Amino acid sequence: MGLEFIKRTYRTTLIVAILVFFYTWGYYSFSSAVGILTGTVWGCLNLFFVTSLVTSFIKTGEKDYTKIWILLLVKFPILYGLGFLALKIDYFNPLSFLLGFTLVLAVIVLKVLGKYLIESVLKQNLKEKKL
Amino acid sequence: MDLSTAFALSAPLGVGIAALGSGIGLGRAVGGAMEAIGRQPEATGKIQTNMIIGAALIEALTIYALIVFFIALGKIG
Repeated sequence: MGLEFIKRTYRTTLIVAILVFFYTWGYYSFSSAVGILTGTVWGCLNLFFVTSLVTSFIKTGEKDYTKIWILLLVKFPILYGLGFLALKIDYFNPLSFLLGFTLVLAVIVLKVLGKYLIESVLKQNLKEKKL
Repeated sequence: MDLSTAFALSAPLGVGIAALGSGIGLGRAVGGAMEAIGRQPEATGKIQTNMIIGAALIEALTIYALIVFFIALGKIG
């Protein structure tokens, strides 16, 4: 499970978010749909910055400290400030933002569960073949 | 003490406790990952990805507490 897994997570999350956006817009309200999409995009950006920070810190050899400082500056005051503003402007219910944010985590958990489930089934099949 | 005062006192405290718990959890997770990378540098890629996922999930708990605070703030006024 390498960094490719996280890239696939962004892709899946954004596809699911777009589907949920149109579904919510059609069956509930436009503001809630915007809230869900904002929450998902914010969650993806947060995950992107966590990933970039961790990979920059753990990198062996020469570290690019300028990049690390820029990432820290963008993640902590700017991204979190944008999240705060998104909740403060009161255009959408914070619950819809929460749902959108949860979508990223749900995709990660389901992908990991699926991966382990498939691996355990394959191992079981291999054991049965050997017996 | 009325409801608004009680909320004004307890809500930031709750967010603070959530942040403290997440901080401890994240510190332990990153510490464990660093130890593991030190012991097995060839497994850095796998450990790194698992740590990122763990960090994202732990960090989410504080964000949940913060958003629940906003939701409650809107309900109480």
